[in-house]
Amino acid sequence: MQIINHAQNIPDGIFWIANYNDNTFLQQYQPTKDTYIENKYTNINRKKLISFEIWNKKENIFSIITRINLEPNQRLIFRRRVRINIQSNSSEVMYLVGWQQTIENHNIQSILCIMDNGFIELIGRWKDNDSFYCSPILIDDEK
Amino acid sequence: MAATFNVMFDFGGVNGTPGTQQAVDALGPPNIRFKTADNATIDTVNPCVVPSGADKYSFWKHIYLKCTAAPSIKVDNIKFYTDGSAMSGVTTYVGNEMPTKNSGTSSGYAVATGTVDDTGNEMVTSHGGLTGKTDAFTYTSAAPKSITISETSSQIDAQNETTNYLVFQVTIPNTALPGDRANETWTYQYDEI
Repeated sequence: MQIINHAQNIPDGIFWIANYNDNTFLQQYQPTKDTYIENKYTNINRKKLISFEIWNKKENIFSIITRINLEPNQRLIFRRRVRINIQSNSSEVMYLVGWQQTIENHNIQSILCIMDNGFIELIGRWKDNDSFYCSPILIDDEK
Repeated sequence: MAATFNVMFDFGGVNGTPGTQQAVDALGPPNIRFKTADNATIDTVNPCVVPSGADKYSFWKHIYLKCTAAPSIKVDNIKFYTDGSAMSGVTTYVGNEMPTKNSGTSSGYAVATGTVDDTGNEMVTSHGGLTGKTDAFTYTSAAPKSITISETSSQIDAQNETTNYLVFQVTIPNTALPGDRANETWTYQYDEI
């Protein structure tokens, strides 16, 4: 657990921590004395990245949900995917976290789908026939 | 912090300038009702009419997503889909094109027209931004409609930015049976980082 002083100042909910090979890390919400600053996903230094963790904070209790250990050439992918039911006002959130790797000109994936009800599912490739499990629009570092 | 969105319904006003931009979650649930009038009220007034001859129509509706809290980086990959189970006896169409709506303009907006308590004007014929329409219930999780964005970089990254419009209209044939239809499940989906 690498949360540092004033951790109570970060917002409740899901957040990420990127761990580097030099024993440093970058966390999504960096607490300060009175509040926090938010680091962007695109600020992650992928050359040093060795693992990526998903955490939950609720009422000042921190719990880790998963850790993705990355081998060389495995490119981190992370998204918050939201479904809004237009008629009922309800919404459903899924976090996609995993990696993509290119082997012999083919991209392979291993992606955890973390639902907001706690259910976690592993998919071995994007499912283009299902909107909830289809590929996001990848940024350059993920391609 | 995570982005937040409202599902919006524009109505009234004049072409290019809606009179009201209504967050639908304040209306229901259910949040959207097709009727033969151009308003957002969820009631049984101005019902759609079962014709004795040619098809009749609801007034069309302009629906879109509006960002109420900005994402850290961006929101994109927005899709619309239904549960694939259509309302009985009628057909709900969505325009093939998505007329322009963004944080700076509603230029794709066209006021819903028709005869109150009788029929709306058919949307492909009367909405200048549409040249075709598709049964909305053919769009499912397996085959969604990809939503276009007319903001910078075709992504949403600031409060008040929006998707383009989806335009919906119900067609009522003379074979339809009268009565309320069950609520339907329609979904907007997006990705955020």
